[in-house]
Amino acid sequence: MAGHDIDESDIYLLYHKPHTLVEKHQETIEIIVNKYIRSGLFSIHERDDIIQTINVQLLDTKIQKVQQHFDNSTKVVTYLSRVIQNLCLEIHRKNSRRPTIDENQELDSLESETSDREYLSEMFIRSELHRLHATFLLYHTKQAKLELCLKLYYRLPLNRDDILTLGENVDAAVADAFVKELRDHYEDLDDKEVYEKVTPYFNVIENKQNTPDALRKWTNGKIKEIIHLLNAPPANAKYDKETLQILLTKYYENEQKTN
Amino acid sequence: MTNHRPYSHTFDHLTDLQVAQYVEALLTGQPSAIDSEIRHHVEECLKCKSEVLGLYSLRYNSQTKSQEISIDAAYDTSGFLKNFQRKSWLKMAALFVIVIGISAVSYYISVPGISQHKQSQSAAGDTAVTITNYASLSRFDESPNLEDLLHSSMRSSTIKVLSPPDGFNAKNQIEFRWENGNSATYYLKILNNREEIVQQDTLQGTQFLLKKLPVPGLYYWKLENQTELLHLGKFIIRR
Repeated sequence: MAGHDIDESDIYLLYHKPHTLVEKHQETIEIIVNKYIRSGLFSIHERDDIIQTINVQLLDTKIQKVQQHFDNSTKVVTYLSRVIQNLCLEIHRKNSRRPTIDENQELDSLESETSDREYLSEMFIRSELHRLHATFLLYHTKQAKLELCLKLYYRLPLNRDDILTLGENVDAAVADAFVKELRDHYEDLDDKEVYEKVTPYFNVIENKQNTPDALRKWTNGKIKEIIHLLNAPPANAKYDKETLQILLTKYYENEQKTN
Repeated sequence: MTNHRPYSHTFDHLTDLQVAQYVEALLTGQPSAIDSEIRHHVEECLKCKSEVLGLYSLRYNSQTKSQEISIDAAYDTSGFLKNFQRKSWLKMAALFVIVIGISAVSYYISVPGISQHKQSQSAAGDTAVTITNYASLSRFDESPNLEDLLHSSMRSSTIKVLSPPDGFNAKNQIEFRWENGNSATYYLKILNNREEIVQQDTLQGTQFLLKKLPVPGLYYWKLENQTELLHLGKFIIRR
């Protein structure tokens, strides 16, 4: 169970005053609906109706299920957010429609009327860096290998910690040799050369006998996965290999600054 | 009897409550607090990764609502201004925009040809100003300002660029070579598509070999003498 501050007032409201709980979290409902509007799941014109439908369904049936299943292992608002998210997807399935191009253009024009595009860009980048970090964490035991392979793929700067975190028993000498192997002309090497150089080290660390091509395929597969995850709803993103590189560069630049 | 692993990929996916638990752990910076069976399942399961990340995106937005702009605030400029006053870092961003603006003005004034070109456009009634949103540019997107300059004629038409050809796709190195420049000293500048100078060299001859290529992307190169811009070209670095 995650260590979190249990919100006693939400728990009380859940079981004794569910109407007040739903009322209290109107902002959460709005944020989630807005996120789906941005992702194109709903039209901005449907916003109020959808919020109303969610409120009705929450109070009619869903809140009872939340009461039955909630076990204090998370905050009420997080579990409630998941229920609201499911309701949004349900409503979308029932409506089974997407906003037209004109509606999207209207959204764009509404945004462009504001004078805060730079601010929005900065906020968007920050949010995306957090999402990328969360994505890495989901890879758990493979996180270190994933990040190292991404750095190799995009020729981002390496350091010995990238190799040392691959496993608990990674020899410092192996890590140094790994980094040294790529010290010269790192950015000029083609993919084949990079994988041929690093695969022996991966094999030593992982005690495997993989070919460079296997590592290349693993990396390419993971890049596709990450792009898929970052683009999946409710995200309003269209990453490809090139834009992922920009995000990764920014991510590791920030990491370097904070270290 | 088989050893039952309730969250392994051959069994059920995470329940809504477990997705919420995982997200809560990510938001509080304590993913290690998650049950290891759940973590291992998510590690292997793309669907559950997607579910967790989806809710994380929604909750992250909710949590940062007080600091960040929601869709409503985006439509409400007064709300943004209140936010602006509270955020000192935002002032830094504003300063950055101002510096970029001043640089752009200086650039227009200092580069012969471009200001004349713009003036002629204004005279023709075209007074639109292009504001480039650099944050949204991919490394391979064209720079509107430099493309504009690229298609305008240079004051000095005597120079003949021999290499690289315009739009050259580079992989290992690039040779810059020209003739008929009639200058003792040349300044070669390489800019990325955000108009940032990534390399600058002062040359006595009429050739230069760029061995260490910058990261992949679209680049522009300027050849100048002490008084004017002689040539503007572009090349692409791919891996």
